[in-house]
Amino acid sequence: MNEMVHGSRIPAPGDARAAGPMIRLSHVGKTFTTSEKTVVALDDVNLEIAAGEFVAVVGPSGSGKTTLMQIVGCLEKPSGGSYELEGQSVEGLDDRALSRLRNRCIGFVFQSFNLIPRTTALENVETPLLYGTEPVDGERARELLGLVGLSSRASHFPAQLSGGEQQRVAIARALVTGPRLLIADEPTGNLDPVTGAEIMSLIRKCHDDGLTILLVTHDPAIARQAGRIVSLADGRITGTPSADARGAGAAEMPA
Amino acid sequence: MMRAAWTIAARDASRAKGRSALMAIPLVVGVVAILLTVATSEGTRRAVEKSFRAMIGALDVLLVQPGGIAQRGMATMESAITTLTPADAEALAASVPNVRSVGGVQSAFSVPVEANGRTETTVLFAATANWASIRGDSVAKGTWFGEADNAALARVIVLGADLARALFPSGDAVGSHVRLRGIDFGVIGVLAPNGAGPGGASMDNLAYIPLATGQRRVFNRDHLSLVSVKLVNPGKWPETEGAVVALLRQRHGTRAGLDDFRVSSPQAMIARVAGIDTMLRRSLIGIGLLALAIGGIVIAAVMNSAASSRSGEIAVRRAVGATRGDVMRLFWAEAWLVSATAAVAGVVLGVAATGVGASAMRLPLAISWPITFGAAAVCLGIGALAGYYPARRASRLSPADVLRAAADA
Repeated sequence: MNEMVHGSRIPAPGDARAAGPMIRLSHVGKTFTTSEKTVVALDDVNLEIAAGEFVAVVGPSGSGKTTLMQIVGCLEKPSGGSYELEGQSVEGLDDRALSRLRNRCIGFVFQSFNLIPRTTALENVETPLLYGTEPVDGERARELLGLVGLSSRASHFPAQLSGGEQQRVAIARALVTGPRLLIADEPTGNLDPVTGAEIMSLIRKCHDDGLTILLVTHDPAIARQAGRIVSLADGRITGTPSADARGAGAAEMPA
Repeated sequence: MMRAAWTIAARDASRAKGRSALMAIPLVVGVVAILLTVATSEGTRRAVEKSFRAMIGALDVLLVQPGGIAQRGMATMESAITTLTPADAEALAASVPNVRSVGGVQSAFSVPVEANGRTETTVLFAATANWASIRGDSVAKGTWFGEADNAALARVIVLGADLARALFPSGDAVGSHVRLRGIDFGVIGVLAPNGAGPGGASMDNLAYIPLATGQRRVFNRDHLSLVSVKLVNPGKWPETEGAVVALLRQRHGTRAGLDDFRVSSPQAMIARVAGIDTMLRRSLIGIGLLALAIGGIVIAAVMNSAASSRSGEIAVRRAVGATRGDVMRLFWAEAWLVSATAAVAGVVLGVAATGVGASAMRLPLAISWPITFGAAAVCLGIGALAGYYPARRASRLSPADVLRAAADA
């Protein structure tokens, strides 16, 4: 599954896990400055996630969950500290390199599905391929759509799909370039419990297939499905209880 | 990826029909407006030029007529203004620079001509042998008369196309005879048709005889009713006009305001009659350009609001791997596509409207291709310019900010 190698610093596929964590955040801080005030979104966050892990990030609204997800997803750069993705520091990367990283290595699933309007389900799934370096493979997108059970909906527009169907299209879109990391931000937040459970089973299936999952949620029941839970409050990690020992004096990450 | 930008932009533009139409319509209107206004002024200019060409023949001449500003009116057999002489014409040919040749005519209106038992009233010209070449007239049948005919006071006549048809309906004019004031003339040629003059009168109901023949046998007078000065370089007509006036004033002992002759330029007359000075033409084009500019503002406004209303789409594209450049190209490509479509539609509609107006409504319309391509290029340029800054704004949108705002909402 580590068949895509970007950059010479990445060791051979088999050694990827042994060489270090997939995600390493060291003393990461993020502040947002507006004209009125400065907001500290993340403060001295240290977090390592190994390849193949399934980690849930929990915390109240405004705790910095989304900011953490955006930094890990290379959509945002930290104000301080360092972030290494698969051993590569993203600090010095320009827009083009970060975009390529997002395209190849990371898949995103959002709470509000974020399908592109006036664009069919199939075209939505194809979108990441358009921004890749290889020729667009229409069969690949069709295959992914089949994987999430929506082959018959390929030419439907987002407005013609239910919420659950839209989120399944979004998952197919996230997976179409064969990423190694799936970042899901409240993927079930806009869905009813039954549909939410279907989406979670799809995400668990991705994990079973070897993907590293970073799931942001405020729903403890959803978080419990992860292998590890990271709690955020006021931009700081307050604990990383394991799924089965949640809330029982979890050990802090080493600083 | 450039290919992706064009493909997606084309798809979006065709699916978001309302948005695309809103952007394209002002541009289409602008292009059509430019084409139609220019077609009108160009068509009028051509129609006027055509009628003047029919009357004057070539336009690369200066025309000298006898009589000052107070002395006007058509010459008849009985009366004419006598202040312009063949000697004046010879002097002009001899000493004014930029003159290729000088020709002159005596003329009389309402002259009866008989043949085949028919009588037609025509305009009779007694002309120098070089007159046809100065006018650019061509002889459809037979020949024009030469210097020898003039010297011999030959009784030969060349008929205009309409007069020849009226007198000789069977087409056997050349070789026949006509009677003019009781004198027999042999028809040696028939002119090619000229069409209508500026007043709408036929410029083919006329007849030419050699100048000397007219002076001695018909009119019994020497003076000329029109002198035509053919120029080497027509562009320098104002200087030459000045030289012609100066020479004639010297010969006639007159001065400004008291001249007994008039010099005119067909170019100046056409411009005056058509009323198409450059100012008008420019202001018409200016109105069209204004419409295009409004189209540009609409594109800029629509694209700018799209950069905001489509921020979610932009964020997603960025999240799945689109670079800032990809987003820039996507939005800019849409502006290009919309304005290119508008340019093509505007040209097609404008040319079609010109064609329909010219043929079905018999309006003097003519397409100016340089203006047409110019208008299309301006349309494209305005669209591209108007789309550039919104596209750049879209490309600089931070996907993280957009997604955070959506998450907070």
